[in-house]
Amino acid sequence: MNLDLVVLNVAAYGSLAAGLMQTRRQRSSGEAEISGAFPLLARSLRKALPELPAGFTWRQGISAAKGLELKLRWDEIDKAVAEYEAYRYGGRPAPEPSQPEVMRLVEALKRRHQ
Amino acid sequence: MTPDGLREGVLKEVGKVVVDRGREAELLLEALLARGHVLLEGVPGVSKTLLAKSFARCVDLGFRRVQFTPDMLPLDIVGGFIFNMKDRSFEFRKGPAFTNILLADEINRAPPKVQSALLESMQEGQVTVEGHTEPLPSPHMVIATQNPIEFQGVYPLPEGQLDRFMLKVVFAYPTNKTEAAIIGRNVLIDDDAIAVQNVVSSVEIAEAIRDVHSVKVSEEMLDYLARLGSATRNDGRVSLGVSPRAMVQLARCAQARAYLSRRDYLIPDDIQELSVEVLSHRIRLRQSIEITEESADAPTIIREIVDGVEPPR
Repeated sequence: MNLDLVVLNVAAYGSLAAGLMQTRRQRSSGEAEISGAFPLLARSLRKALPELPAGFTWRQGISAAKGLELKLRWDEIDKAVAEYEAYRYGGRPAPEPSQPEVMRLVEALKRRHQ
Repeated sequence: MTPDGLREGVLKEVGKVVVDRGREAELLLEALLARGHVLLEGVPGVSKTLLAKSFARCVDLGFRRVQFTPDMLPLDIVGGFIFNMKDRSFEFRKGPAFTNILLADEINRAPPKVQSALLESMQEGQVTVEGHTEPLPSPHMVIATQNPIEFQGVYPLPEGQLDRFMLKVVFAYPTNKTEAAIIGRNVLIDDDAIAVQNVVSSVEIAEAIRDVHSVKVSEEMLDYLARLGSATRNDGRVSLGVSPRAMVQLARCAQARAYLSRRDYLIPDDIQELSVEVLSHRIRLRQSIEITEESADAPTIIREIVDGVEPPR
């Protein structure tokens, strides 16, 4: 009887701990990805737009990139930047790790720089 | 009332009377919400006083206007003890400083002792006369106007007094289009037909002030502010950089800007967009720079310093 209870407890707490660890792993990998995509964007902006000052902000950088008339979905990029700002400066949860439109902007800036 | 409603309401009402001064009106609102004082500088006739009066009218707060003159005394501002013949005792009579919004018109026409009488009221929110201390109503905001110091008959405000102003807003001459609109409004429209409505209650202002105070400033943003302050002190063109008090004022004003932009956290743009108005009047340039480089005025140098300091990304 007691042994059954012990086994049941181990199984219940074990699955709970495993679930928690998986959530933490997913969260930290999402954060790592997101915090990897935006520094990449910052570097691309700096290289493709050398007239940007060292103190440029995300909004200034995106606004300058819009001036290049690249064919991208800017509303999605604006939304992604706003979510990233909320995460970065406001302590909100990390945005979606995959940011296809932001990565398309990075690629477009890279091509322009080359 | 939402931050949007507050902002739009004030801008709409002020815009009924003052042409094309939306940014200046917004700066006044940000200073009020951040519990700061504002110095409006410009040549006579560019709507400084009109803007201050219209702004005060659209918020439901106490308002007094004092025209500063060279023969003023401190008690004309803060009040003083007057002998009451009936009771045969001295009683404190409050001066015009005892209000929510005090318009100190042409502040630099008054002598320094009158200007300094405002120091304690602006910094501490109270007035002390002969050991008697009286708290001022809350919020308490001084909107001062001044003519440029090159004008005759003015007493320049000392650095200590200037430092009490959260923002200094310089009024440039209007563009031709704006000037035509100003002339048209004054010539063609009956003054009585334009009435600024009270659009924000004192309770709503108090709530907004509380909300502004709770806007989040992250550790990295604090570090960014400190690096900006330090950069003004280490710039070779500047003989006197900004004080930590200036950076506190910049952070508070930026919190108000974030609130009015419907955010509960600060971003670097909030700081950068306000840095010229908050920091320019607090730095002193080296004389050699002022003499040799015509374009090197304080706002330009502040802009260049801000451009050189990398924000957290």
